Amino acid sequence: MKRLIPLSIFVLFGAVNSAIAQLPGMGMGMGMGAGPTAMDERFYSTVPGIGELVPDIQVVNDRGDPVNIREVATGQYTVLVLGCLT
Amino acid sequence: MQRDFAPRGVDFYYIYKPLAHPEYNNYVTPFTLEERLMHVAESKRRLGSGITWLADPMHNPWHEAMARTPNSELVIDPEGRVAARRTWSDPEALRADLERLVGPVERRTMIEDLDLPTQPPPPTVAKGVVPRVEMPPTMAGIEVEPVIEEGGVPFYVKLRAEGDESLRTTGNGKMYVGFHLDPLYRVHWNNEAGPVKFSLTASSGSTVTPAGGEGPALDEPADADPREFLVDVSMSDMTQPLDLDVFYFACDDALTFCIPVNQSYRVYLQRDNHGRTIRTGADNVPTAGRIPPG
Repeated sequence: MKRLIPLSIFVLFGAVNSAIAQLPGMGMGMGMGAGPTAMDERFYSTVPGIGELVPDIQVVNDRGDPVNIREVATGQYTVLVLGCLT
Repeated sequence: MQRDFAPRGVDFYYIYKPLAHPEYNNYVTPFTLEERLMHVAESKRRLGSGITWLADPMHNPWHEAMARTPNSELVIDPEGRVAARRTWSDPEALRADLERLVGPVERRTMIEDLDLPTQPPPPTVAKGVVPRVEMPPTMAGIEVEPVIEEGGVPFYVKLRAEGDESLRTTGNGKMYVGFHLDPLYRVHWNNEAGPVKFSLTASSGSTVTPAGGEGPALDEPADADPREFLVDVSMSDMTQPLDLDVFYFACDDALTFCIPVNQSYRVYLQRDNHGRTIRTGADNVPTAGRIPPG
């Protein structure tokens, strides 16, 4: 059976969360178990809601040059995914 | 996903953040932006994806704005407003979002359609030579500030410090001192050159016992195991740091250099909210005693 490419595969090398994150029904931010986790609650109370502006925050590109998130995420649909090596 | 929706005008970015689980595949927390960008390069190497990479600066403003989640995901509309958000990246839910926003694709890209040159983590010399310490209960990462000297050599070996709940809340308790090789520098412990040595200095009225230590003498000529110690700390002023000085030989795996290194840290008893938890692979086991991220 063919598998789809998870956008976030890099972040979860071998981690249990990889499987959990891809379970059907987990897309609304529910973590382990039936209800929202503390992480879900923190996320949904902190992160701008639907229709609100993306945070005006400066990060860097892979050369270390400044990049403004709001600027790069304006003008087209944009997907932003957090991740790391572990 | 990118291959399907980029032609429809959707941009994709990964944003690199602090390690969720230091030690996994031997990766350790970077100390500088340059080292974080080395992690980005390593991620590119390992994943082989063509998605654009950005990196959070070392004070982690994006990670904070995302409530310190490890793998959250936002979809932003052309006006810069949030169109979808979720705590954990979810490919199926993201695809449904994008189909709703820009329309479905005729044929979904499958993993077999791509040629992703994924690579394994860097190899290391012998591991499992030095036994891991047995962690006391309630241990969690505490703030470590490397003293970075302009023009100095990299921190080939990086300190991870943890404290038990008593230490973090009262200033009296157990502290873990772990020296971990950074695999991105391709170095090892040269046991014929001499062991790592460290000393801890507390402010007046505070004590650390023992106030230092050194790694074991080993028959194995080289290894890549962390050098770990437990000390008892009693701090009269929790706002003050402990000063840690460490000496070691940094020897690269290609055998092009083996140099003595002196480096220093300030260790604070406050919880490192970006330090996250240890989740180990099969070759380094101690998870007991560590508590979940706050």
